[in-house]
Amino acid sequence: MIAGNFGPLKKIGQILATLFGISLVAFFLIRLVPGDPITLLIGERGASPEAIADLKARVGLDRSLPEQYFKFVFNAIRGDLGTSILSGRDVFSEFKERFAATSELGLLALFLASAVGIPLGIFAALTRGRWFDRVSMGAAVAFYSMPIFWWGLMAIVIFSVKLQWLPVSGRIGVEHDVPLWSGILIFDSWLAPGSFMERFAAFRSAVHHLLLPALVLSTVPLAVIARMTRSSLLEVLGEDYVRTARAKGLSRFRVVVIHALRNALIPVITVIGLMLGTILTGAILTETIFSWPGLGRWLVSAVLSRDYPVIQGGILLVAIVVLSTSLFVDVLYYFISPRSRGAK
Amino acid sequence: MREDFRVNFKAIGKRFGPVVIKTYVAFELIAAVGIGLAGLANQASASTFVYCSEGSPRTFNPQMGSDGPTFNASSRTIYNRLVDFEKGGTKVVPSLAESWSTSKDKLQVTFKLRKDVAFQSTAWFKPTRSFNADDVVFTFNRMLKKDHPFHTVNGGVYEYFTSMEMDKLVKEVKKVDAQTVTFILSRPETPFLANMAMDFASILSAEYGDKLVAAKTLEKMDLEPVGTGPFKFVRYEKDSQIRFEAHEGYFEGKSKIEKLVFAITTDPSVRAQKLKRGECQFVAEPSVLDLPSLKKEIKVSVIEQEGLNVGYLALNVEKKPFGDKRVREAIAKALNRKTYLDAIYQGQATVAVNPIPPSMWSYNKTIKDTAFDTAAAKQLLADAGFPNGFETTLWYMPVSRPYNPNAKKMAEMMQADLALIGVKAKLVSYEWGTYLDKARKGEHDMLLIGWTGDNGDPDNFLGTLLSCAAVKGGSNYARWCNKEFDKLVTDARQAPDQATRTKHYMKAQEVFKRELPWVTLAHAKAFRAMEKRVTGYSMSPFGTDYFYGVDVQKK
Repeated sequence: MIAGNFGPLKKIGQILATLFGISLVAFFLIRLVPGDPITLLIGERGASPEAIADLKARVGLDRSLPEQYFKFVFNAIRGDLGTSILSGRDVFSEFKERFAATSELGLLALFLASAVGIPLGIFAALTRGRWFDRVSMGAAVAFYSMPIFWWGLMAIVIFSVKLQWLPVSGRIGVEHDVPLWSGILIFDSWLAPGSFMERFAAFRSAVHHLLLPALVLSTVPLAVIARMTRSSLLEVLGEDYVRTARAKGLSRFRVVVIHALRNALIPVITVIGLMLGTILTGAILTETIFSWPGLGRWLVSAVLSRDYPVIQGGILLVAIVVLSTSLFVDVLYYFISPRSRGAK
Repeated sequence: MREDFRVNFKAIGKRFGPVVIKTYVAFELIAAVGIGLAGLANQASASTFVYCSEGSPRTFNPQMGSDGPTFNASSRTIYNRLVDFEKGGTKVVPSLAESWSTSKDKLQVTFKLRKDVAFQSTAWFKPTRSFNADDVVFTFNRMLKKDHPFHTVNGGVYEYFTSMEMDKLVKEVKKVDAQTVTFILSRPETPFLANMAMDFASILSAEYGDKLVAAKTLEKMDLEPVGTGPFKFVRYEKDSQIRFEAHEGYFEGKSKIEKLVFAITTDPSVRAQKLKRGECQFVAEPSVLDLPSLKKEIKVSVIEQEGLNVGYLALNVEKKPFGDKRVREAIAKALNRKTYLDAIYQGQATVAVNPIPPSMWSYNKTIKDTAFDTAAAKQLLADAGFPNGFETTLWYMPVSRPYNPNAKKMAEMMQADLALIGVKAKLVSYEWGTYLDKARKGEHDMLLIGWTGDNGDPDNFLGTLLSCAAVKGGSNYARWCNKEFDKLVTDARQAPDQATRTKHYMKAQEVFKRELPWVTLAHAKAFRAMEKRVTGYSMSPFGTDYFYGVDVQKK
């Protein structure tokens, strides 16, 4: 009951409980999988059982599972997520770099997907059944079901190798020596030493490197957003209040944009919010093709090498990001939807 | 009703068309300026060499690595060892040590060190003295001594050193004077010198170590490395790029390449595209599937070399019925290995006869390969008491390795071959970590696996993979412990000269082929692709890349 009166507290309580659950899953699930980091490190080579036991003791794998878990949680609360067994670097600083790279790519991809997908959906809804609707929605289905690996390579072959418009992979041309500051290269390129002209060239190179992976990464969200916008808008246009508004003699533009679209976009925004989470962590294939040092690749390689501290810490940090986005989407709702405000 | 909302594309076009066109023209104008600038920037960096590497290094300390990408980015660029392998070969030659001598009882190896070798001067460390014996003692004690200040730093996993049992072999590393170091061994061991040329024996700076201890930032030793090698480390962006610059004071003279950039590109097809597009000058490990298209490029040259590796099928002699030699021979005869080479290695491999590759010294050319003969195989099985065959399991690796790019496909082909002699093999695979773990414990019947050599010494194959000690160590996947073979390998390890060692290894290969604990499958070739204007590169049999002496002709 008290929680009902203190909305934000309740939300934070929920988030903490979720994080606790995630810490349990992240810690124990990977340990259910046979094979440990030391075995994988040694590979086909083999080492004596004593040597292996010694190595395990050194990274703390000799202790009991509950002991390891409590140590992990205790340290995490103090802000220490441990160090990677593989690289020896601390998990948080690795995450920061990865997060910046992923954000640069993911946000642009999601922006492209929304900027193209929403208008596409609107036009498709407004031209329902006509050629534009059919072609665009057919293309959306095609894009949605395209294997990303193949599409990425095709994009490289077409735009880079044949047309020579864009670079093949990487984040910036090697001729530009740009040290990472924020981790987001379209900003960092301006902070690099050199004349304005040189910095502009570095910026342009960063933008060019960004375009192809963002294009590939945006195809699936674009298809989803376009179809979602279309069906949502069609539904709203059929509602009584829209008919009333039209009957009152309001202009078509006013009715569609001000009245209908506002409501139609609510489910679309929810979907975009959810996608933000998946795009941050699920861009593994795109990141692999374009050699983009993002979060997805980081986590997958950690899982493959059983780098426990990175898996635990990384999943926890990603969870925090995803939960914060969902909180952000809730706030956005509040401003867009009159209904959720009216509940007061 | 719906007609009401019809879109007027014409009106929209009229309204937004000019805006779009204007924006586009503006962008093109800016871009045109940008292209001019990028051209200028390119000119300024004529001596930059871009290497499209296949993976990220684990660390910048080769003591803690075991994979090609780590060695390429550390021991091959930043560091040197006391001795080295000759460029493109497996012979041991002087490097930081000018000469060496072994005591009569073979328990002491003394190295005379080269004078006036400079460590790199970087943004984070300015050396005040040249390389000397303290650096050697510091380097090896880090791996040897549990109380060394750096022993546990950054995880302290010295897997190579440990798995080679160097921690048991080396009793002490003693400084005699500033230019002389003696290694005291617990037993005579002839491959020791070759081991000292391996990547994990790269020499760190003791002075840098002292500085880090004083600053309490010990972890920087492996993250901001300092060595004596031809290139100094500048910056690493994880999974993206590594930047190096030529070490001005390198003792063999400054490298011709001034800036060396590793563009980390994990997908082999993308690496090939980058080479075609001129985004890199050199490609590590191109996929065999991309070779034909790369060979067609005018600007590109592809080189190949016999790899120092072997792919094999280990028959677990501890499991029934593989303890019976006749069964093992039957399996070896039943498999049509030539067909696998075309299907799996695209023909880029040779059928393996012995457990060591033909390029290695002491390779026994007189050994006759087991012939493919289904009828004879059937007969052998009948003799062993299995006229109708038997049921068993065949394990295949879930990952692609240089010595076997597609184990699953190979297992399927083997399954079909074995069915012809009545052996019903169930295919089994696990995720890589699990696979290794279970295989090490000997849970398999037949197992696909392989090996890439580390130091060009036959002991590195015969001793590491087939000795009785390796059963316990877990790298003897056939779990085959043969007294005669084991004695030959042990004797060879302690033999005084290469001629005697060769004699032992020749004999050991005979025992191997008679007993057939493995079906030897293939020695895969290794490839590199580069722009034709790259000069001075020679391929190492160990699969690592070395850039000192490499140059790029101007376009």
